[in-house]
Amino acid sequence: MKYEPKPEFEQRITKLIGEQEAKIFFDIAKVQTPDSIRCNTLKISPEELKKRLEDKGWKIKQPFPDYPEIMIVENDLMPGELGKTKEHLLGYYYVQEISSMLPIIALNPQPGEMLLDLCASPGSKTTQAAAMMQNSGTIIANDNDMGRIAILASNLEKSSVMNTLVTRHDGVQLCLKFKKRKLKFDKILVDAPCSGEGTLRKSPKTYLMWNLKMIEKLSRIQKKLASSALELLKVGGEMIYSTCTLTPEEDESVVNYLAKNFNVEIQEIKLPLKSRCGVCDWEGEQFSPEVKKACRIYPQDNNTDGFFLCKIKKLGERNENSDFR
Amino acid sequence: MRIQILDKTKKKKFIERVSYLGVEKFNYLLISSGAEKIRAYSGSLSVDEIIRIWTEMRVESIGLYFGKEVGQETRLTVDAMHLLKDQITKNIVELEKEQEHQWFLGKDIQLTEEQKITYKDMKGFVAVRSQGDFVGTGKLSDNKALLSNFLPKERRVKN
Repeated sequence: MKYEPKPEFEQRITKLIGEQEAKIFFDIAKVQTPDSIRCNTLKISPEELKKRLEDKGWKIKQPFPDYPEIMIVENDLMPGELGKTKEHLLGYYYVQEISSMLPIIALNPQPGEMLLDLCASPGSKTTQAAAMMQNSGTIIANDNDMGRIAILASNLEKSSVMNTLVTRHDGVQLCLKFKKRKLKFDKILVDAPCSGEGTLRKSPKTYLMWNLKMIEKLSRIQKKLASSALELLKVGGEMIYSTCTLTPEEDESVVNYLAKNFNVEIQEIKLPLKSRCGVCDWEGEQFSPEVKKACRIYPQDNNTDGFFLCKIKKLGERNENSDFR
Repeated sequence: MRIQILDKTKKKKFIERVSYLGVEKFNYLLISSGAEKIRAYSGSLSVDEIIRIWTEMRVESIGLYFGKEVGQETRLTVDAMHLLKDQITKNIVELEKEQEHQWFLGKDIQLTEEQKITYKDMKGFVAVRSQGDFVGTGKLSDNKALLSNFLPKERRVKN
C-alpha cells in the first residue's frame, strides 16, 4: 500500500523548510535509511567487530572518527539479515538508526553518574548509555507499558547491561515519586513519545495517523513529562529533550516552555553530523531566541531519519511559589 | 517480584557454584529474584537504596540475569559468560562450525567421536564456545554423546 502525506502535513513541512526542500524531504521519505549498527563496547571492541563483519563480506563504514562504535553496513543486505548474524544474537551490536544515537552522544553520560531514561523502551539509548558508563553508576530506565518493558528488558539482557533498574510507571508519576524521595540525577534523557514525523522512511504508516489534534495532545504530554523530569535534575545537571518528530509544537514549543518556567540554560550541542538550528517562531507563537541552540536533523541532510534534540542545563531550583502549572 | 540481596556468605556460595568453570571472583551485587534466578548489579546504589526503591516503585528488574541455580551448580547465562569470559577456563566444550549452526537453531548437539574422547572427564553443565565466542551453557549426557542446548529462544536464529 502506498501512503501519501496529508495536505496539511505537506504545507507545514513546506512552511518549515521551503517548497524545494520539502519536495526533497518527501522524496527521501520513500527510501529506506541505510543499515546502521552500534557496536556494544561492553562485549567487543569496534575494531574486532568491524573485522568480523568484514570477514563475512560486509562493507563497513565508520562515518564518525570520534565514534568508531557507529557503523554503516554499505552492502545491500537481505531483509532481516542484520538480525540473524551470530554477532547480533550474542549482543555484539545493536541495530540502531544513526539519528537515534544522537541524544546519548549529546548527553555524554560518564562512568559513575546517575542517569534517568524516562521513556526508555525499546532500550536503544539505555544500552548506548550503559556502554558509555562502562556499566557503572546507575541508570533508571522507565516505561509504562508491560509489552514495551519486556522488549526493553530483553535488549538490556542481550547487551549485558548490569547497572540498570527497570521501572514501570507513567513518567510524570515516576518523577513525583522520586521527587518525594529526594532522589536526583546527574543526567536525564526525555526521549518523548511523539508523532513520529522523522520516521516516515521506516514507518510510512505515520502518514495515516498524522493529525493536528494528536500533535496538540502530544505537546501537552511532552511538556508535563519534560517539566516533571527537570525537577529531578541536580543543579548543574544536564537533560536532553528529544523526539523523532519535526513539528515545532512537540519540539521548540516544549523547550521554550521549560526555558520560561525553570532556571535553566539551553546549551549548544556539538554533533558529528549536519544539524539545523531550532525555529524561533511558529504559527504565531514566538519562542525564546535561546531555542535556536536546539538541533533539527532533517533526513535529507545526512541520509538518516528526522530528529530533534535540545540540551538543557539546570542552573538552580525552581521557586515552588512561582506561577507554574 | 520479591528480591533478596545475597549477603557475603551466600555470595561466596554462589561463586563456589560457578567455580566448575574456573570463575573465582566478581565484584557485583548479587540478587536472588525467585525461581532460583540470580541477577547481578554493577551500579552505584547501596543495598538500602535498592530496597527502598524496590519497595516504593514498580521495579520490573535490576541488573543482569546472571544464572540459575540448578542442584549443586549454577547455569550461567550467555551474557554473564561474556562478562566473565577471561575467567572461564574450565569445562569448556568447543563446537565445530556446523555444530555452531545447529546450536543457534536451538538444537541439541551430537558430539563427534573425537569430541567424546576430548570431553570424557567432563560432566554436567559446561560452557560452550565456538570460534572463540562463548555461545551459552550446555549439559553433557552421561555417555558424552549429546550436548543439551540451553540457549534461550530469543537468542536463536529464527527461520
